[in-house]
Amino acid sequence: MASTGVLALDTLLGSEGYPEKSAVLITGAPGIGKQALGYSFIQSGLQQGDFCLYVTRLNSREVMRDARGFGFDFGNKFPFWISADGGELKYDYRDLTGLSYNIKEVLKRNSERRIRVFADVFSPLLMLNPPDVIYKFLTQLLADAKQYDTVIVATLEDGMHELQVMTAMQSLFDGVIELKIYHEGGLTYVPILTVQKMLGMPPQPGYFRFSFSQNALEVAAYAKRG
Amino acid sequence: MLSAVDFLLYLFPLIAAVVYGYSAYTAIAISRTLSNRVYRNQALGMAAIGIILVILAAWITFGPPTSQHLTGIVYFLQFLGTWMAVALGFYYYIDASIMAARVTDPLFRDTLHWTRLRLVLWACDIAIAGIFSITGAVGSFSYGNGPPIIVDWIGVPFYIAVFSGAVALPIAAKRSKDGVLRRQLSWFVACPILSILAFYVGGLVGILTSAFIGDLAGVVMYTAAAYFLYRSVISLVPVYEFKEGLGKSG
Repeated sequence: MASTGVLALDTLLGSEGYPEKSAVLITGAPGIGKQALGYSFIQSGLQQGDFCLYVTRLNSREVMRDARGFGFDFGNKFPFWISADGGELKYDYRDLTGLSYNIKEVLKRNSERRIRVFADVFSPLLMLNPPDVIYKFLTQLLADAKQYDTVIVATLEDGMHELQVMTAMQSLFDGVIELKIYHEGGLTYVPILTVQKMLGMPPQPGYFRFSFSQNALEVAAYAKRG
Repeated sequence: MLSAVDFLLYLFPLIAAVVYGYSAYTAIAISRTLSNRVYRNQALGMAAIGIILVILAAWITFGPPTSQHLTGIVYFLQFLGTWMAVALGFYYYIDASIMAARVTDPLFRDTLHWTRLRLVLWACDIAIAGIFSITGAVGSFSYGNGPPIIVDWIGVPFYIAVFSGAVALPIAAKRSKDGVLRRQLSWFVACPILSILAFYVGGLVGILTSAFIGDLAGVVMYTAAAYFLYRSVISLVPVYEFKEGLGKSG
């Protein structure tokens, strides 16, 4: 198991976090906190001595600054970056083959350790390429990654892709966590986390309210008022 | 005793004020559900616009008529402060929206070097608003009567907001490929356009028919503008409704 870095979420997932050799997709509206779940996952991995790969379309310095804004501190350990700028390897949205090769090479070189991968590139890639190209790319990548002791967490923006694209993407992953804003009624809006599916877990029908405080994500069972 | 005509002219701006207030509160409620600073700022920008427009609607309805003879703090409160707040509020929202569009741009482009340009524009806005606030409040000039160099600069915060909203924001929104942002912006754009049109259409209708019908047409359009702001606020993020029977956690 790979801890999510959030005790309440680990508990919610039934044991100690994301299942081994799994790929988990976190979907949600821009700004809702998907990236923060990624920071938490990576921070936890660095603390446990796992090899952590961060694949981002952003500049690695901007990501670090954003993570610090949430209160996450990777300390003196850093993930291995495939990023638009400032990383060990460069992310180039035009070169899917290169991206796939780089990720697989990094996984291969660190195959003796447990590996954590966090990627925020799939929504932009879906915007820039035909969906079937990305499905094929992702299917191959996830299959290759499972040869190693790897847990992959990826994000997908809600509201930016067609419903069938979202559904197809979700079907490629072993686990899906949705972060959504619900209208409770009146003037109350609540951020809700739901586990749509997770490898080795029975379906979870519950709604869980989540909130971020300094360096901590709080998740609690949600009961609708009224 | 209010005539039916006066009643309608009070009623519509009052409805607009309520809708603007509701929009502002909703925007604050949505901002509290967001964890990313950029998107939170965008929602708070909408809230700021809503609050400013509530004040403006209340001022239009219940405030004394603008007089060219007013000076000092009264002039500042009646005319300058309100309009400066409108310009700054709109710029705050537009700036936050451009920054949000950059985050969702798959290529993460910095439209018109916005990350740097925005700082220059903010500095101009704050400096000019500060100068006008101080000089306006101490009464060193009044409407249409003051040092020309200062009076000429009064429109700068508006020009900044208009430039950002009409040039930078559409480019950033087009680049972002973010359907949620585009939908939200298209609702939002209708609000200032309809508010400005209300002024001109009201005047035109007034000339063609009667002053009452002109005023009524103006306030009805102004109220419709409030509705568009509300639609824009609830389009900030995808919002879901609980399905019957699934509202309670397991």
